[in-house]
Amino acid sequence: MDFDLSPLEQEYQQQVREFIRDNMTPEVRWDLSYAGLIDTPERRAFISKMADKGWLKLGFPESYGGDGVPNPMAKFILNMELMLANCPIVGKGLGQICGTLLLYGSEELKREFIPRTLRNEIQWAIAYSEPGAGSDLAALRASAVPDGDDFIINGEKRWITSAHFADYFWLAVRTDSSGPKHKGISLFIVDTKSPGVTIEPIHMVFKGHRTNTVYFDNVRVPRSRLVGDLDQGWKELMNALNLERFLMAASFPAVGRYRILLEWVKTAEVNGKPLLEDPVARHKLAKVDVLIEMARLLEMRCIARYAADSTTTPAAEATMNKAMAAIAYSELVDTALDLMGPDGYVMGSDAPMNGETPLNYLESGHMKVAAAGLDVARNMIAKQHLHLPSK
Amino acid sequence: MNLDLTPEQEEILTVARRFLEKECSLTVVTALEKDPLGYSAKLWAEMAGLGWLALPIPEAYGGSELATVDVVTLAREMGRVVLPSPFIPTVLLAGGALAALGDEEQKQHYLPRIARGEAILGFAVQEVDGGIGPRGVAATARVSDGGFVLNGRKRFVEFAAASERLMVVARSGEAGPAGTGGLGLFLVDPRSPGVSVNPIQTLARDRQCHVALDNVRVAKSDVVGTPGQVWTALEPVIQRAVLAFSAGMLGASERAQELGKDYACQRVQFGRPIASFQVIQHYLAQMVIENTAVETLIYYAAWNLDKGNPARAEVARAKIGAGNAVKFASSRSAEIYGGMGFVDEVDISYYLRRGKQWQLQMGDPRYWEEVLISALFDRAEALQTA
Repeated sequence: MDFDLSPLEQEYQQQVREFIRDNMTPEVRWDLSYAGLIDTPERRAFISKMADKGWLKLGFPESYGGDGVPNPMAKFILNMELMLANCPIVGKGLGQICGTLLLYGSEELKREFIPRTLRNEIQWAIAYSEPGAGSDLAALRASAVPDGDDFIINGEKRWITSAHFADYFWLAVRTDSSGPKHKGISLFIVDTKSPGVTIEPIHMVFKGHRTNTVYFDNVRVPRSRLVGDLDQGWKELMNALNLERFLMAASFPAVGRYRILLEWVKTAEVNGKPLLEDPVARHKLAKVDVLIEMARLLEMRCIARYAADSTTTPAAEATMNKAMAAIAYSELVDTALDLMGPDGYVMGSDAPMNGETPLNYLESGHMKVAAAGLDVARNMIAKQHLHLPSK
Repeated sequence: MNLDLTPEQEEILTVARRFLEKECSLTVVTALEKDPLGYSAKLWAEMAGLGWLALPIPEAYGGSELATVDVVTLAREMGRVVLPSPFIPTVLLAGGALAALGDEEQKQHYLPRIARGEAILGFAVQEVDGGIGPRGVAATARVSDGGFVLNGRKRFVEFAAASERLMVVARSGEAGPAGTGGLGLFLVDPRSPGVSVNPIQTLARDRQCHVALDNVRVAKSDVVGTPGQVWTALEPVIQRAVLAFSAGMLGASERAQELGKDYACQRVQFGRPIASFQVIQHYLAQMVIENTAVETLIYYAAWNLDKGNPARAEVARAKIGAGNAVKFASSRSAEIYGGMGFVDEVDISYYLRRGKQWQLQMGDPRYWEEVLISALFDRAEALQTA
């Protein structure tokens, strides 16, 4: 049993920290604490500099532009450090998409898309959810119908973050509606500039964060862009979601914000007295500290499992990790606001903790519902891990 | 990084699970809850035969000197079957303190007999506050005739009546700002003049006593360590015992979750097993999430302790987390049982009664939260563990 990163991993972690110290600017910094998108020239350039250092290709096979050295911890360490510093992260492209392509993609797709993603030349938007398919993702109805060597795609996708600047959709559609809903789903890679694609913004309640609705109207995609086997997309999609549940360092927004809170607490005063002399404040801090550590260690546990065998994802623990991270983050932010009292609703740079905590509060609610929310995660643990009956 | 159990730990777990499921059924626990001694001498001898009482004791004194990560693996299985035994006070606390601080004669006298299951020792540190640390110790030890005279009121001393000696923490000098100064360890015969042992009734129906010490004489040969200088060596002993206790809470929490699950799968209402209702599913899922996270909290603290790293925050988190988990799982599972969960001698009721008691025992949450916050603000590197 060993909770330390290996010497090599620690060295890498140190390099990442130094890189962040030297390259992070106010333009790059992400004032929300999760889902740091690569949506501006400054953020894109920041990630490209990391690609130039070779960090995005760590662990990938040489034949697809990787360095050929197995290193499942690298992506995690990178995102962990980026999140702790409020930098944009390298999330879905490397973890979900390239990870899934490696497992299921054709040789042609691997060669076309993995190297460009590792060089940060292309950005991705994941297109799963629909107005009628959220928690019940398998109910999705957007369809792909074969037409010669192509498929014709029709339907509406919602909550498609990054669609307005991404180059490709990673798209789940129905290709067979005759059987059970989990059967008959397929994954495609679709150019966002394809004729028939319409992207409309959805502006979220947290400042400046935009997601999108995307309409597909007779969008043509070549059969070669099918990922894995026709109608077998559910399995691939679940694998991708499990990867997301821990490779994106789900608990680290909470850990990062907690460190900021502890710094504030050291000098904060309430009613003219040091906050740390208030027993209620100490009690609240201790309660949330335990939750943060539970989330952090659960995440480390997922990563350790994945590092030992990265051919499968630790599904049950990944789901627990997602749930625990959401619980810890929402408790943390609520506690922080309670400790601030009415200053908690003041936004802007002269408010405590740069005035970002009110945004974190909105975000923390969102984290409980995004990418299999807390209640959905509990459903999954009940069914897949505890095998409880459904009727 | 590798957070899996080692093959040796897997072996400890398998042997312990098999033995305890066979030998420590709830029928046995029921009998012991009514028994004045409160533990089974036969079971204790068998545990000694398996080498369990020797696990944390140095090899030179008949032990196998295993690490904390191994000890918690065993303690978790004991908690799983709610085994009533003096393992923590005798082996981990008194035994641990003797190994760390005792002189050669004391070690020779007690440790091999503890390892063989022949000596029961109690450990008396707690007083009126809810803590298990140095600050709460007000009992005094006054130098007299080459020995000491003890006065004070000790509380929550487990198996005091069955113990051949109580190891008492008392103060012989100035407490100092942190309360860690002036502490000494004294071996007291509970039958000696001036000692009154008063059994208390507890929620878990276990054997605990309040112990009054009125001018109790202690010979020099019964002083363990140098009075005034014991805390540095005693703290990791207490931390180790608290982690084992936390692991026991985890084991009980896991078993409570299983019982709740099994009952929910069998119990049919509205024409379907109640396990199919989402509200029940979410309770059970939340128990699993917490138990899994708490398992890692405990091993992380144990691993830090074994490496000699500062572990105050880590031990506090493990104790608080395990206490929350066992209280949640035991009370929610009892609610899943409906009225049956509150019937005496129904399986889940054993966990229901212990869950809350254990959360308050060996330092209540208020105490450990204070330890945690003090550790965080005394020690910035506690935050840099990632």
